[in-house]
Amino acid sequence: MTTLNDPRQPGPRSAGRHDPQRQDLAVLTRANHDMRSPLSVILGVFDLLEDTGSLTDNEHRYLKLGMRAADELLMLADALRLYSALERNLVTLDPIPVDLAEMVKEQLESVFSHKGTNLDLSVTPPGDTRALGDAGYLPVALTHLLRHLAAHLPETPASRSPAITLCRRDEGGHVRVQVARGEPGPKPDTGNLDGGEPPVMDELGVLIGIRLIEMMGGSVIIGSQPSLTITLPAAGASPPA
Amino acid sequence: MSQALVLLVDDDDSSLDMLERRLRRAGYAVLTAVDGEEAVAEAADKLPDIVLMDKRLPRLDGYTAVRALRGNSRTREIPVICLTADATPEDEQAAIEAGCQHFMAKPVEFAVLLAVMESLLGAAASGG
Repeated sequence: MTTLNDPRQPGPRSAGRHDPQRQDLAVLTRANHDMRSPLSVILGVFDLLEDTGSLTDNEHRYLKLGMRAADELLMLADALRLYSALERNLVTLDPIPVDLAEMVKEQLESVFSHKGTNLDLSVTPPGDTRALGDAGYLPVALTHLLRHLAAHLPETPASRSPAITLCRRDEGGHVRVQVARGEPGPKPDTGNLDGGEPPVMDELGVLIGIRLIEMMGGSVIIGSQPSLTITLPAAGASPPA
Repeated sequence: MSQALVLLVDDDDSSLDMLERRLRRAGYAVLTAVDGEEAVAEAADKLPDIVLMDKRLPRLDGYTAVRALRGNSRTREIPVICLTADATPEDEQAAIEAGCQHFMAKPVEFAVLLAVMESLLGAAASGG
């Protein structure tokens, strides 16, 4: 079972004790809450406009831009809520056997679908890629991490589009899946991607993705090529402590 | 289902106005209330077919208002959908325990909301 406990419930605290970090997290949680009501209105307006059926092509295009921006804000609200809950140890995971390669493929297709990018999603070598992951939160973690990768991948010809470049079950009882540009050579390292101040959503997403994967007993390597390598305990291996 | 009477409860003017417009456009008659006490009074007076209840409300919060509806023989059977910006599994559990038939996080997908409403109204009409 996947449990996200209510992050608004205050934990035990001493009378008069001031905990700036807890207060910061409570503000994040309220920010998530307070973003949702106006978002409801914005999305409602968009729906009503679309329903009129009398929009010009240009107006329709503007509407779609607005809808996409609203979706981004909704993702940010979701990320704020989840980050706050993670920081307050209010998320409980239940790793079960999942096919990591298949899940990466699904999220990869979803994240890159709007870019019209051709993806090479063949898994080589084929094999048992079942790992232990939380069925609810693993897709969330993968989406955040792959969105980060997408944001840092330069527009490339199809032959260099993102691909699963490595997928294997190692002797240490782990399944590893690497996503990188579809060309040979990108060597993962442990460095972070460079290039200025990242957007809040990107930064939050990476923190959330790494934290969730680590809670499942796995690890994340973000390479500077760029590439992304996700490792999880293989199904059948000892569950994370 | 057209002209079913919906009681829409929300203390946020904009949210209330927008959802009311969309529901009317979808063929529903709509009553509104802006706090829990008003919602309980309106429900007892007008006997709506379904209630859409926000959780955070002044004077009487949404869950307490739903318990009041369940405690009144006239309003006991009216289906209630909880709509809230507090979107955690615990909120959902609390909403169901309070007596809501369904829980939806804001912003709701309107088509999904309509489908849930139709289902609850259909079940209520058949005595289910």
